[in-house]
Amino acid sequence: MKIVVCIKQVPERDARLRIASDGKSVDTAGVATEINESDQYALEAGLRVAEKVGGEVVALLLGPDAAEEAIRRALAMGAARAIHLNDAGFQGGDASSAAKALAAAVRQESPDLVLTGLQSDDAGWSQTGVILAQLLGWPSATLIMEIEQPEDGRIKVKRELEAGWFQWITLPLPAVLTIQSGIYPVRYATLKGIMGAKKKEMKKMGPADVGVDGGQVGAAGRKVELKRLYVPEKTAEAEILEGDAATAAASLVDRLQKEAKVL
Amino acid sequence: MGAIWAVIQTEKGEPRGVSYETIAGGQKLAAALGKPLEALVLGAGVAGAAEKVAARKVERVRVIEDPKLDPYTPDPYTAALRLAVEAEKPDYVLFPHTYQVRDWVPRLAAALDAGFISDVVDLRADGGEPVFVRQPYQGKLNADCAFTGSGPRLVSFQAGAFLADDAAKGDASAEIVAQPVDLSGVEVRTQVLETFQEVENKVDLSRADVIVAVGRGIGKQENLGVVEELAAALGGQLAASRPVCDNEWLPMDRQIGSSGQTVAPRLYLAIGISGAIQHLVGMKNSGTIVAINKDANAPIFSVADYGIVGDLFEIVPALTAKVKEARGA
Amino acid sequence: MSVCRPFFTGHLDLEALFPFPSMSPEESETLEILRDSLERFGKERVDSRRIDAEARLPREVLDGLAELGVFGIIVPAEYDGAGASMMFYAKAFETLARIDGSIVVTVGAHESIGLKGILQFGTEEQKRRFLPPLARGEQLAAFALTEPTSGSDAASIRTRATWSEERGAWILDGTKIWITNGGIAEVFTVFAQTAVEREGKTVDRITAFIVPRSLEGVSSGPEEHKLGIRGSSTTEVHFEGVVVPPDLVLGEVGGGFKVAMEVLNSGRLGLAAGCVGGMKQLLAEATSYALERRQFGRPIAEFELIQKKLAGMALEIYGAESIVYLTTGLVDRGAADYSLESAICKVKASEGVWRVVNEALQIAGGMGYMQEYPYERYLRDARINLIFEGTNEILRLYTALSGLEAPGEQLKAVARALRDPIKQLGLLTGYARGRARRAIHRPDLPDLDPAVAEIARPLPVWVAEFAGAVEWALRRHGGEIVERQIALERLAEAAGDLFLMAAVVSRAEEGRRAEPGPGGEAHVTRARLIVNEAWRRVRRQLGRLREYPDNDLRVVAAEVLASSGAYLPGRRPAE
Repeated sequence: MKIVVCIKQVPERDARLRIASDGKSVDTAGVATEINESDQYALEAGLRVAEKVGGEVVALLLGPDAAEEAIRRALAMGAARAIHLNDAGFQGGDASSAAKALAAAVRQESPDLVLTGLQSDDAGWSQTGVILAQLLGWPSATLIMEIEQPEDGRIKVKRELEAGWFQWITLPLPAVLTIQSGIYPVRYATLKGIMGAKKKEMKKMGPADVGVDGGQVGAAGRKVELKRLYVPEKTAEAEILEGDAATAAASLVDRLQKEAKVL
Repeated sequence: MGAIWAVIQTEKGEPRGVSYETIAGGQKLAAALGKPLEALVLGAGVAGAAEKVAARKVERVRVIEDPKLDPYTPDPYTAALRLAVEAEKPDYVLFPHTYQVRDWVPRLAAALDAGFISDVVDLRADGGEPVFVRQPYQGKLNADCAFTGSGPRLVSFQAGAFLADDAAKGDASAEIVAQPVDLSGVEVRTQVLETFQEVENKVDLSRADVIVAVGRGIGKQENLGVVEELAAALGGQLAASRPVCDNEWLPMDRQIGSSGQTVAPRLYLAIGISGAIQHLVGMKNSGTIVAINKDANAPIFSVADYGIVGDLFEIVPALTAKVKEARGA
Repeated sequence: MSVCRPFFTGHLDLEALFPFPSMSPEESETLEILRDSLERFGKERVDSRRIDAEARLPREVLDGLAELGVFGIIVPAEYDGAGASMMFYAKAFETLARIDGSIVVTVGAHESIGLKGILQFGTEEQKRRFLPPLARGEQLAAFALTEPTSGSDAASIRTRATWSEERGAWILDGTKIWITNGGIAEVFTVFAQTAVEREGKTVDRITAFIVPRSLEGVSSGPEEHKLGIRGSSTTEVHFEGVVVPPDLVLGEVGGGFKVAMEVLNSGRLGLAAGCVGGMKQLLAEATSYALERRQFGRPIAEFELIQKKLAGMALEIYGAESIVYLTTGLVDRGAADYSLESAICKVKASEGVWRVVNEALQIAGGMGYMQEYPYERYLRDARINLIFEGTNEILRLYTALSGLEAPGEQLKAVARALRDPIKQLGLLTGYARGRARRAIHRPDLPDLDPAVAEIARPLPVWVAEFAGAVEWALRRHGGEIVERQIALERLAEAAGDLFLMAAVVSRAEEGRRAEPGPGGEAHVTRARLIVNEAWRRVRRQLGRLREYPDNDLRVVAAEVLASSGAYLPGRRPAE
C-alpha cells in the first residue's frame, strides 16, 4: 500500500512572530520551525498503516528550501522518501493553489491513500486536504481519530464530530483523510532514524516536473489575497469594579444586565 | 445582482445555534454591500428548521430537501449546493465554521473553482470590496483577506464571531421556497456505520452560552463548590484552565485553552485564572469576559471587560447571591 | 596540541586555539532533530518531580532513552552506536541535562565513563562482545573505581585481583562504593590491584577489568539515599571471589591507572557539558519567571538587579560553552592530551551551574525555596557536580601539578646543567634565552578582527605573567610545591581563567567571521565582559601567590585544628 502524507513546515508553537516588512507575511528569519502539529499525527497514522499492511509512506511537502528540515524530520520518523515541491512558482498561494500543486504530485505517485493534517498552525485554512480530494476526484473524510486496516478496497475510519460525538464510516480507496491531532502518540525521531534519513531520496520538483500549469499554483493561482497581517490591537483594559465583595458583585450584575446585556 | 446566502446547518431537524450567527454575519454583509440576504436550509426533514429560520430577517429561505442528505455525507452535500449555486448564482455563500462545514465546503469550493475564506472572525466593507478578518498563527495575528477575481465567494464564520441574538427578526415570516436539485445521479461514497457519543454526558463547551471557568486560584478540589454554585445560578457550564485539569480536579473535557477547547460563549467568567496565553487563545473571543483574581496585574484583566480584584472566596458567593436575586426579580 | 599546557611556559598554541571548532552541517542537522525528539520526550514522558520523590527512574523512561539512541552516541556505528563526534555528544548531553538531572547522570555514568574504557582500550573482540548491547541501551555500564578508603586517592584502592594458575583466571575480591548505575548496570569497568613484576620486583599495580554482572560473586548493595540526582542508581558493588577470565582484562595488566585517568578525562568533559545544559535550562526558567512575576506594578524582569543576575547567568553559560566546545574540538581533532582542559572544564562548569542555580532560585525568591517549584530540586541535583569524577579540589591540584611538569623539567635540566655546565651548555643557553625572551616578548596572537583583537590584548600579557609566576613558585618552593596547595590552587585558577579568556576570544573571532552584524556583535560583547573579569582574577591570584595571605591562612587553620574546631581567637583548648 502506498501512502502519501502531506506535511507543512510552520513556526514552532511558542515562537515569537514578527511581521515582515511587506506587512503581509511573517519574518521567518531566526524563527524555529517544526512540522505542523496535525501533520505530525498524519505522518504517524500513515506510518502505522504502512507498518500494519505493508507498503511505504511518501512525504510530500510544498515549501521553500528552508523547509528541507521538515522533510528530514519526516524521513527520520520513518517516511521512505520525500517529494519537495520547491519552486518560486509554488510560493504565495492560498489553500486552493497549494492543493492544485499537491494534487499534481499525488497524481504522479498514484497512491492508495493520502493523509494530511486537519489544518495548519500558521494559515489555518483547514481546507487543503479536502480540496485535494475533490481535485483528485476521490472521497475524503476529516477529523479522523482512528484508522482500521483496509478491506475489500474500503477503509474504515472514526471521525470526530462535535459535542463529544464520533462516527464510524467507510469509504472506498483511494481516498484522502485529514487527521485530527491526538490520533496516535507521535513517535520520536531516533538517532538511528535521523542518521538513516540522510540516505533516503528527496526529490525536488517544480510546476513543470509535476505537470501543472504555472498559472494554477502559487500566487498566480490564488483566489484569496492576504491584504494585511498585523498584531491584534490590545483591547482596552478591563473596567475594575471597586468596593467590598457585595458591592463589586452588585455592580457587576448591574453591568452584565444593562451594558453587556448578557444576563 | 447576486444574493448572499446563509447556509443553515441543522441537527435533528433543528437549526444549530451557530446558524443564527451566520445569519447575523450575513445581515452585516448584506447591509454593507446592499445585497439581499437569503437563507438556505439543506437536509432531509428540514421543513421545521426552515420555518424557524424564516422568522429572521432574510429575503427568503431556500430549502433543499433530499433523502440523500441524511445522514450527512460530503458527496451529496457538495453536489446539492453546487447545483443550487450554479442555478442561482449567489455572490456570497456563508457558513458557520463547524466540523461539518470543514468536511465538505472545501470540496464545494474546488468543485465551483471558488475562493473560500474560512474561519472568519469579522468583516468590513468600507468602500466596495469587503475585507474578511481571520486569525492565523493560532490566533496570534490578524489577517485581512479579500477575494481575488470573479466567481462565487465562500465564507465561514468562527463560532462567536457574530452573536446569534444579533440575527434580527423579520417583520413577517420570510417566504420559504423549495430549491430543486437532482441528486439522483450522485454517488454517495461514504457509508456511515455508527454515530455514537464516546463519553457519557460529555460537555460541549463550544455550545455553552455561559461559561464559568476556574483556575489555579481555587487552590484545591474541595473548593470547587462555590464556583459550581455560581455556574448553576447563571445556567452556565463549569470549565477550567489547564492546571485544574492537570491536577484532575476537573476532567480534561472541561479544559479551555490551547490544549483544551476553544470557546466563545456570550459570557465568560474567569475565576482565579491568571490568563496565560495558552488559556487566552481558548476564550478571548468570548462575548463578555469577566475576570475575578486577587492579582491586579494578572494578564487575564487585559482581555476582560469587567474585573474584580480580590479574594474569590468572598466575591464568588456574593456574586452568586446577586445573580440569584437578579434572576428571581 | 594543547591549549592550557603551553600557558605554563608562556606560550599560546595558536593551532590548538584557532579556529574555534564547529560541527559539520550534517551533524548540526542531526543534532537539531535529535534535540527536538529529546525535548518532546522530556515533556511527554519524564516527570522529574516524581523521579525525585520516588528516587527511581521508571523502566519506560530508560527504555525510551534507549530507543532514542542516547546510550550509544559516541559508540561507532559498527558496534551499533551513532559514531558521533565528541562535540555532538557534549551538545546532546546538554539537552539531556535540561530534561532531568537523574537521567543525565545515568547516561553519563554509562557512556562517559562506564563503557568508555572498552571503547578506548578494549580489544576488537571485547568491543564486539560488549559494545552493541550497551550502545543499544539494552544493558547499562558502570565505572567502579571508588572504595570506602579510596576516594580522591584513587591509587590506594584495595580491591584485588589474584591470578590463579589453577583456574587460568583472575580472582577478584573487594568492594566499591557510590557506584553510579551500581544497581542497574550489567557491565562494570572495575579497577583492582594486581601483582606485577617491575625491575625484578613484585609490586602492586592497578589493572582494569570488564566484569559482567552475570559472573558469580558480583552483587549490588541497597540504593543510597542522596541529596540530589535521586532517581539515579547509586550502590555499593561487591566482588566476592569473582572468577574473571583473562580475556576480560581491559588494556595492559598493571596499566589500569592510565585507563582510569583517561576515561575520567573524557568523563569530566561530558559532565561539564551536562552542567552547561543545566545552566541553560535555569536561565530559560528564571527568565520566564522574571517576566511573569510582577512586583511594584511591573514584571521583576524590568528591575536592574534582576537583569544583572540574568546577564550574569548568560555570561556563565557563554564562558562554559566556550571552554567545553573548544575542548571537544581538540578531542575531535585527535589531541592526545586534553586532561588539563577537561579538568578545568569540569571545575568551571560545575561551579558555574552552582552559581547559576543559586541565582535562579534567588530570582524566584520565596517561591524558589518551595518544593512546588523546581528550583530546590535543581539546586540539590547540581551539587554533586562539584564532587564526583574528581572533586574540584583534586582537579585544581591536578591542573597545577600537571601543568608544572614541563617548566619543572626545564628547571631540573637547568639545575643539572649548572652541575655540568660545559656538557649542558646548549640547553642552558637555550633556557636562558627562553627566559629572556619571555621577559621581553609576549606570545603573539594571530591577526584578529579589530574588535576581537582589542578584547584579546590582556591574553598574551597575562600568559607571560603567569609563566613568570610559575617559575617563581617553582624556584621558591622547589619540590615542596606539592605541599603548597593554596599556591597550586592559585596557579590552577589562573590557568583556568587564561583558558577561559583564550576560549572566548577564539569563539568571538569565529562568531564575528561567521555572523556579521548583531550576531557577531553579541559574541564580542560577551567575550569582552568575560575577559575583563578574567584577567583581573588572574592578576589577583598571581599577586596573592607572592603575598602574605596564604601563610596567615595556614596559621589560622593551625589554630582551629589545635583547638579542635573552635574558631575564636584567644581560646586555648584547655579553657
